[in-house]
Amino acid sequence: MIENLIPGMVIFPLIAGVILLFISNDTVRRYLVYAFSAVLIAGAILLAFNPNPSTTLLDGLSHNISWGMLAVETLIACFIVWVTVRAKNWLALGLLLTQFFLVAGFEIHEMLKSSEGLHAVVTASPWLLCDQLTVIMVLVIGIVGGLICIYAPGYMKEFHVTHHPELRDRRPMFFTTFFVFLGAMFGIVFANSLNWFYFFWEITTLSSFLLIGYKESPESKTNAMRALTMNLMGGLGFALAIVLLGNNGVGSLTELRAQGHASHLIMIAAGLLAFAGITKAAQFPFAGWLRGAMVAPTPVSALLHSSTMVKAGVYLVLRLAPNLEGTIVGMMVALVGAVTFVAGSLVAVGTSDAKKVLAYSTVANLGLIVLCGGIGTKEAVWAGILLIIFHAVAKALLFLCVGVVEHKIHSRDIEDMAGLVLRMPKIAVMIQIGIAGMFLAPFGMLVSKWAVLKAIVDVHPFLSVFIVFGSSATLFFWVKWLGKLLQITGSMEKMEKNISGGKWIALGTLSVLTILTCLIFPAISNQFIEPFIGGGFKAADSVLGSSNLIVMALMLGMVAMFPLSFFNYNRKVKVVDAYLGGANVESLDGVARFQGSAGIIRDMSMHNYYIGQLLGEERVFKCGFWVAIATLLVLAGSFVLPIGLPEEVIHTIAPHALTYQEILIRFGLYLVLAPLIGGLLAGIDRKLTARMQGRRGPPVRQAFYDVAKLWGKESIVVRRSQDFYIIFFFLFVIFTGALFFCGSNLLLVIFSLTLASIFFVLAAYKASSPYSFIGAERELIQMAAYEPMVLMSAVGMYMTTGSFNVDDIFLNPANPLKLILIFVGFLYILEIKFRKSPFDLSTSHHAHQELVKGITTEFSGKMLALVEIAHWYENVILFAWVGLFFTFNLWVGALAMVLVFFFMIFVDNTFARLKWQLALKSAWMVSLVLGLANLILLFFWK
Amino acid sequence: MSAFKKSPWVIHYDASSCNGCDIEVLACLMPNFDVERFGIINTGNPKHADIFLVTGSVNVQNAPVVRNIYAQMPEPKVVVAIGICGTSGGIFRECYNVLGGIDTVIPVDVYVPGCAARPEAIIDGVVRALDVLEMKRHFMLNSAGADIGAFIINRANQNDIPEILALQKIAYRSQAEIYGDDSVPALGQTLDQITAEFEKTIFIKAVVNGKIIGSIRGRIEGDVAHISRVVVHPYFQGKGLGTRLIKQVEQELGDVRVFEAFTGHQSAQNLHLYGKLGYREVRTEPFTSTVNWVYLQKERK
Repeated sequence: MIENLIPGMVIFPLIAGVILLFISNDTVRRYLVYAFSAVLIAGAILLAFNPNPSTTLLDGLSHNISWGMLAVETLIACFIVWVTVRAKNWLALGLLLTQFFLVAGFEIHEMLKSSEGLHAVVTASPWLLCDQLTVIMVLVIGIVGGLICIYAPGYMKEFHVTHHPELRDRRPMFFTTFFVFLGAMFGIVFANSLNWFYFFWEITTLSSFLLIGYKESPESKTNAMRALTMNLMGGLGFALAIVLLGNNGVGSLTELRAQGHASHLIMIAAGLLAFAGITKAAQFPFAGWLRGAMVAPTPVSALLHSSTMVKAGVYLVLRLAPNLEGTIVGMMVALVGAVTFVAGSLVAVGTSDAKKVLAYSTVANLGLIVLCGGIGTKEAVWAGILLIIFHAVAKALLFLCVGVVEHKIHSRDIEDMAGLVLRMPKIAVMIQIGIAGMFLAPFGMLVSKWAVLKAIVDVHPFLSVFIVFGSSATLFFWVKWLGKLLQITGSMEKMEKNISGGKWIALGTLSVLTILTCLIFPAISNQFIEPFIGGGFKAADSVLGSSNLIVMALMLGMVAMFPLSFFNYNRKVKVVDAYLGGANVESLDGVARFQGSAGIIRDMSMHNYYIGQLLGEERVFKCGFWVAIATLLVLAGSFVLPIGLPEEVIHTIAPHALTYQEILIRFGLYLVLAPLIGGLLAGIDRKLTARMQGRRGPPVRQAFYDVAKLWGKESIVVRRSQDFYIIFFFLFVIFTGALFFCGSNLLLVIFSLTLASIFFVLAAYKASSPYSFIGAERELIQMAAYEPMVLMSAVGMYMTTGSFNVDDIFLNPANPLKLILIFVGFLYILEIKFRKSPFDLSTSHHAHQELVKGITTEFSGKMLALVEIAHWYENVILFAWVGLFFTFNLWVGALAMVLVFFFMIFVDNTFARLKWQLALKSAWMVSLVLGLANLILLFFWK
Repeated sequence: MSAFKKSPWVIHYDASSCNGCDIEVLACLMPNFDVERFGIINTGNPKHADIFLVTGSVNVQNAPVVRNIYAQMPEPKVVVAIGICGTSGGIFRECYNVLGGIDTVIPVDVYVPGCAARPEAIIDGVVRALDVLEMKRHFMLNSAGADIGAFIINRANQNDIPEILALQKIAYRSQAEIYGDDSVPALGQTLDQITAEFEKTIFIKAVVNGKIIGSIRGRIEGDVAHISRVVVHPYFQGKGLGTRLIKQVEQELGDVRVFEAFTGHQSAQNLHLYGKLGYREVRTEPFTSTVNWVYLQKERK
């Protein structure tokens, strides 16, 4: 059994698929699918424990297999010819015929030369490949794919019976394609021979085409055809690469790997293969097919278009990493990935269709993996593989949840998901887990993003610009969605009934896996990824650092405490309506209403920002499209360019270690002194402001009086759980400061601060009041505005001092002029961070706020006091950050902090508030121009 | 001086003022008077505010708004009625749509007369409001620590009547909010009416630190004792005071066949309270379109 596990895992799903084609009874099919999926999952796990089974089944059959494959390829080609001719898609037809004749001609030509089969002629390396990366892919395909299969029968039944009775029931074909596809996926990851790889590659293209067109509506037909055409373009690239390499005696992945970047020819072939990977992974300019693929039923989107098939594309690029590392071709591939990451993330901001958001986010994250593959260093590949794992699990979970929600609320618009925490509590929690897994510290994707940032700063610092902007957009659209789930505007009917057992099993397991992968990723890295990368690579040393792992564990522990606060839900607290300008109307059904103009009573409703004018979905999409086309053109022309790239080398320094006593002392001092300093600064701020306005102003200690008073006030809430988020906001701000002053990693400080801000924003969403809601949205916009520059300043400090650690930056002063432009940009976004005019959009210190008090409107008493104190802590961190630019002399640093403080107040009192559009736009412009210019400066000024 | 008096945050609402007083309120914030010297901030948000400044008289249109803003402020809170219209309705008092001064809808702590009220007067009013705020805060702190044994419960006399009326208006606010109806009779009762009622009725009061924080009344007709108006100050609710008041009035009413009480059909708290003490529903009578009276009775053991 074990001996033939590998061929078995490819063949078994094919047989399963064929069996399912003849089953029309719903119940029988359901249990068969469960059984088959269980076998797949078991097989994947078995393989993980026996990574090198022999493959006796194939011995002596290779020749026959090659002929058999050729026959199947011909059949597939005939089928595609038929559909393309019927659809009059001549482009696709041409693409298909070219590649078919190329590959088939090549294969027949080679096979006729020998009785040993094609493979033996071209190459002497094994047919199959089973290293650690294969095992990881098999686990992802087997477990995530298997779970999606378990989910599918219940979904498809509901799909046909309840939601689309008008559609032809083609479920036997659906499940057959599903399993055949899984077999092909296993084939791809096991294949070493490029011809085999190509064969399975084409099957996945076909499966995708069939499943996208499942609904048989005109729209799904068009989209299926578009997907086919674009994938065939990639297929053509693949076919060209096969012929090119085959003629030079390279016929397998291992041989290609061994070639490194030996010649222009190898690089062209690698470029062609990477191009195939780029189309498969729906990178810009081919992202359109994945967006269109969302017309398919949700299990298809989950399986093919997020967790597995598109992963085949990035898998191929990662396999090419040794060829691409340090080359112009690699750089261009990385650039396509980087452009896709930014464009995909920005586009996702502008849409409210949940499946589209997921699709764009998939495109963006795949871009990140392609970026890693293109860079090709050990650190980058490590990050890329981790991204594959985390993304597959979390994204499958999200897709499946959206599928359930869509069937229950008859919409997949995020706007309609308001109050899902009450309507479908379990599903909502799972969506929250999935979203947290996608972008939030300390969950998986963020760990990987961090590693990516670290990896690219080491070799191509310019690419970090893409990461920082993409990340800020990512943050915006995920938090927006998260907030929508929490927001409650009226009475909420429970809808979590009649969800089949299979769905719960799949959803529950994926949720657990999302969390589990975060917990055990060091083990995964240890067992699988590091041996794969080889060369004594240790992620804990070279990417993350073990002390940072401890910090991450601490953060995870703190986040895990959050659900516990709900035990305090029924505490004694006064619940009042949201503030609606006093025009609230009493209602018995729980829907918040107000008396509008002319005495008309209206329901309160809230709608998220989609930044339509600024980042229209289509506009950004087109931009990404053209930039990626340009990059691909450079890639196409790269054979005239030199192969290699000049490498940037940053001399990193050994981290300065602290003893536990030192950490405790610093933490204690920070805990006590920071609020005193912060409060005093707030008081001085008010005094100075008053003086600038020709008033005397309050006493300097006024901020403390305010907080003391607030502490004695009654607590009133709109929603009982809103306070919990505030408490965690407070805790995480303190935690951030502790990290900073204990000399931890700057990136970690940023992530922690972001997490804190997200808790704050979620609190305001949770309060479900229009004013706090708009405040929260604007706060998010502000976060998106300042995030790139904050990250960029950390990157700049790393480049000048060689470390991300606060202590090391402090102890190894660099010439402050080296970061002068970043410093100016930092000043700009500091104004946003302090919420000072002209950027006091989300809330204002002055009584001229059109949003009442914006984000803090619904918090009173102790909670408002906590918000104030948290801001004091935060301000101290930010001023210390300013000081970090001037570490060469303590007095200059202190002077800089004081001057910056006065400057902030001066600007606050002299500029009128900007609109959020201009605030975001200008902040991004400043960050982009100054950040990039400074990176260029650093390039020349070593 | 505690922090409470150093950080009064105000919210200003223009009920139906001619804007004269509003301009004076805003003038207080300007450099010439600069009330921020005393830590005063105009928050514009009831949930952050301690002091509610209302200008102008209350009319039918804005009465619900005044009430809503007041209800959304966290305790302790004080209300300052500014200008002669705010204090009494002023020259608009007789208008068909005007209800009167601010105190016709919410309890007012400080009155600042004037037409328009001068900034000095307004600042003076706020400063006086601070004393009330401080007092209320102590009151609230007392309530937080108060134990049921510390309340003195006994018969009220003629002099207690105005204080009981004021308390009744504070306590019945929550009832009016339940029904969305201000015609709850307890809110509309005048001093003359309650004084007349005192002639025929036994009034019981609960006192802490010399202030009346709870009351109940009962009256005998034949062999039936009618119990009505259990009133407990919002700060002191949920401490078993209602139960003690009812037991006390039953004792004072003495030898009757049956006790009868009534309350609104949605007043779950009251229904629960009576139910716990052995009262059973006997009949329901419609009172207004929104309120039905539920009558409850208990046999004397």
